[in-house]
Amino acid sequence: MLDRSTRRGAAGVAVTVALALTVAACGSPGTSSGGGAAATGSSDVIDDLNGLSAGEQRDEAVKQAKEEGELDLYTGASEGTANALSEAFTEQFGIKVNVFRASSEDVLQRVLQESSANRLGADALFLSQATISSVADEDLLAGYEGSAADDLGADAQHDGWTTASGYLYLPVWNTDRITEGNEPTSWEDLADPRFDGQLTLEASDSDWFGALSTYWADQGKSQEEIDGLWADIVDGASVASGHSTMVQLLGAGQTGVNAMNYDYIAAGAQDDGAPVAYQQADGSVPTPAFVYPFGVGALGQAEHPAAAWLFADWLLDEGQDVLADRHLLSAAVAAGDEAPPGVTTIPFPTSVDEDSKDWADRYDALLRGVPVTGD
Amino acid sequence: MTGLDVTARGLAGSPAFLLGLRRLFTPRNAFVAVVLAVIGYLAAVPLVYLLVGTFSGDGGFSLSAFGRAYGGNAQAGQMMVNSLVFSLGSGALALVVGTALAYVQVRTDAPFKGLLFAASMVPLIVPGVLYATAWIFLGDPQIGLLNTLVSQPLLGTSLVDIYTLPGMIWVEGTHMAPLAFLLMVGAFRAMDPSLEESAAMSGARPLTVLLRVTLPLVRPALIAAGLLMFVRSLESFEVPTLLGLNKGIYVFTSRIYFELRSYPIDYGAAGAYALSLLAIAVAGVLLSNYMNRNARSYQTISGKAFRPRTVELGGARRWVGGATVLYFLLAVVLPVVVLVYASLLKYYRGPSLEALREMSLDNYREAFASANAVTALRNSLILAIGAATLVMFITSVASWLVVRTKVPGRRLIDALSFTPLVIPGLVLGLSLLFVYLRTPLPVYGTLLILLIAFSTKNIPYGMQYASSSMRQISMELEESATVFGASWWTTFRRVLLPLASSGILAGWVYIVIVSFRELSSAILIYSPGNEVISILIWQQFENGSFTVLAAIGVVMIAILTALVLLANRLGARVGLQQGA
Repeated sequence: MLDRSTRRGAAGVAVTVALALTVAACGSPGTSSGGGAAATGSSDVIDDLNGLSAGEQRDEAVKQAKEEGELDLYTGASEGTANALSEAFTEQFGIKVNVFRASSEDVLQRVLQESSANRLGADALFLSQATISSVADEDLLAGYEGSAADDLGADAQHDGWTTASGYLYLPVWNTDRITEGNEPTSWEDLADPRFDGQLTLEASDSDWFGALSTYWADQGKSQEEIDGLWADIVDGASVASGHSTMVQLLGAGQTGVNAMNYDYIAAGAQDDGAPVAYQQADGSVPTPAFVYPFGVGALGQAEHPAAAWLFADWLLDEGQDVLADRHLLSAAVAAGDEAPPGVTTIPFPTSVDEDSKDWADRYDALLRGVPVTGD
Repeated sequence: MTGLDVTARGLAGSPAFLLGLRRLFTPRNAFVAVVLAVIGYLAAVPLVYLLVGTFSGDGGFSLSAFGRAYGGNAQAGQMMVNSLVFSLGSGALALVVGTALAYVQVRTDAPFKGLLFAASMVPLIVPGVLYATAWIFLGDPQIGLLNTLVSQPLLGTSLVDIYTLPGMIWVEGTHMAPLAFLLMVGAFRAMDPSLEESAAMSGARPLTVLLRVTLPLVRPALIAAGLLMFVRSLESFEVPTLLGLNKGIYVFTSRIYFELRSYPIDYGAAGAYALSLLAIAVAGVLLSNYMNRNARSYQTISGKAFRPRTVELGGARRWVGGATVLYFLLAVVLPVVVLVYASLLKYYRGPSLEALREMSLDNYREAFASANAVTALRNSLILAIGAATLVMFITSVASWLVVRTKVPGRRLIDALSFTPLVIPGLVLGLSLLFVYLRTPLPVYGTLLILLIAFSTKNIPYGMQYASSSMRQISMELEESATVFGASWWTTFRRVLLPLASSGILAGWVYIVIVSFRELSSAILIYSPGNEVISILIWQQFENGSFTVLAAIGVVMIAILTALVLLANRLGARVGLQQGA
């Protein structure tokens, strides 16, 4: 046994060492510089690349991007997708990708905060339509105009960013609990009494609620009819939090149907052998699906502008295969130029993003079974 | 003589002014001032950010956020009732369970002590989203294993429904019980049994001794634990969102969560909810100070040598052993087995031969295939140990100030140190972003910003652990050290810290564990290369696979259990040292 003073001394040393080590370890920067002084002339680099002929663009971008050495990417894509993209990009060009991944909304918060302090840390963004267009509204993006975008229609080109991928909003069901022929065949069908006690809704899906209500109104349904449909859908429904949890519980048979989930999450669960489906036996999707786009953009003050330009170019070209492996939509489908086989698609109404707070309040009121205020 | 109050007197009498000034700049005062400045700074940054966000409207000062939060269809009354029932229920459950476990562990000759310790600690180690999800797979009326394997075959109906207030209270209460356990273990260890012995010799029965002597003696720790449990469950969001939403049981935090998840985020409304929590929490701090006002009566560590007596349970030993095993099964084995089971499957489904055939370690491979996972584990370890050490060090000093001195403003420090408990993690993250994006110090983009976040978040816990053990140390010891010429620093380091070490170590262990889990403040401020394990868990939860998530959880439980066992062995030694 050590004597007391030695032990006390040892304890004192241990605490001091622990603190010193922590501060030393914490103080060393991560792989990202976390932004620095705004690189001057970043948008010039991007403009120059945009101005080159289609044949020269890629070669010049690769050359400059390699000189820059790395790419800081902020994305709202899932962790698996983000990793797959960064690995494929690094493999092809030898350029290291530092990924900040969070929900698109959290990425937006971070970009806005960094921008307000003039310390932008991202070169490129790959985010949901609603969030990337908010970044564009702040004039932070330098538009990509490369050959990879030429094949896409005008709907893919936005002010500062380009539609690159997306996923579908559609009903998903458990094939053990919902027998063939009994699947939901339309959004209205979810209100059918055969689904009472069978539906699960996700707590934060107010954008879907907005999109579907808008779609129904565009089809000529009265507000009363729409309210009636929602009341029947919510009646007896369970509420879950998180889309992947929801599909897990669906596969386990908690309820029969997810009123709405994402096609790529359902397809991933199918790959694992879960008894879930969003297509009928013939492969067709009976319910018209909302297309939720994701966009790519380069920041005007990027520290690595050529790498950012190259990432956008690559994502719209070779990157499309990586996205397809993750069950995500191609840029052409996400932009509405094409429809996937067997699916009727509906473009996601942009008005829903603009009024998102209002739709969130209404959806919240619907789930809680209380009247909407301020109507 | 308590110290800093010389300041006021020195300033009051002008001839003594210079003398007072000289007295003011003692090394001790300087040291204490630095520690206070650190705590004040850490707590004030998010608080000020929250206040500004809540009270600023279009034209300057505004109260409209409260209208948005509580007006209209907010069902504020119902939500308040749910919150109170949920928090009081789970707080009470955690307090009773944690105290009972600690008493049995420290003071009795009960069997299965190892099992008991595991039962007391493991639930804390399981991340909240996993613990709540595990209980869905156990207690869902349709697919819950307790229903499909036990209740339905035996009774023909599903008895367990986890989506009810009692279900939520059970999950939250058992998840929190380790917090009470750790606080009470420290208190029971640092207890002079002479009063108990006198009571026993005067003919009191063991139960009477327990209720009339033992528990009143650990009152400061009980009060601290009760307060922490109550506020902690008021601000927890995993159980309310995962279990409460299913059947529409809304509490404060599910509303905050809703406000922070919708876009554009209404920080004002979220802040209005958070400030209500703050008001409740501050009221709790004031109440607990009031209840602790007879400070000297709890000072059980005095100049006399003591060794806590072991209570012989006799005939009750068998029952206590049985209850230990039962609780271990319910709170630890069931959820952990579900997680291990899920981590071996490709997708979650009820047990069957087919499921057994399909089991593999693929999820573990996938979880740790990316370099991120290893970096994240390392970062989490550094941050957890760093934050725990830093927080326990500064709160030990601060708690001395609050408990032992009459320095003006000490109540403010006490209350301020409690505020991080109710600041939503996302708001904490935003406030740190705001500050450190604008400072030239190398904080943003490094692990330091996460260290600051995790330290801030844990100051309330550190403070409660440290001050409840300070309260037990008799003033005489400090006074005699001073009489014999020891400097304040020597007294603090060689008398107070060693005597309070049991509680301080318990706090350290607690902070290590919860820092591993801390997510909401980390999500906005981490940088590539500075990922932590809780972020990987959240990413799998939000957009990944539950079975991979379960695998990460199982690995994390294994690592933390090893850490805790190590600390426990260390702690046992520290505990013995006190009696020597």
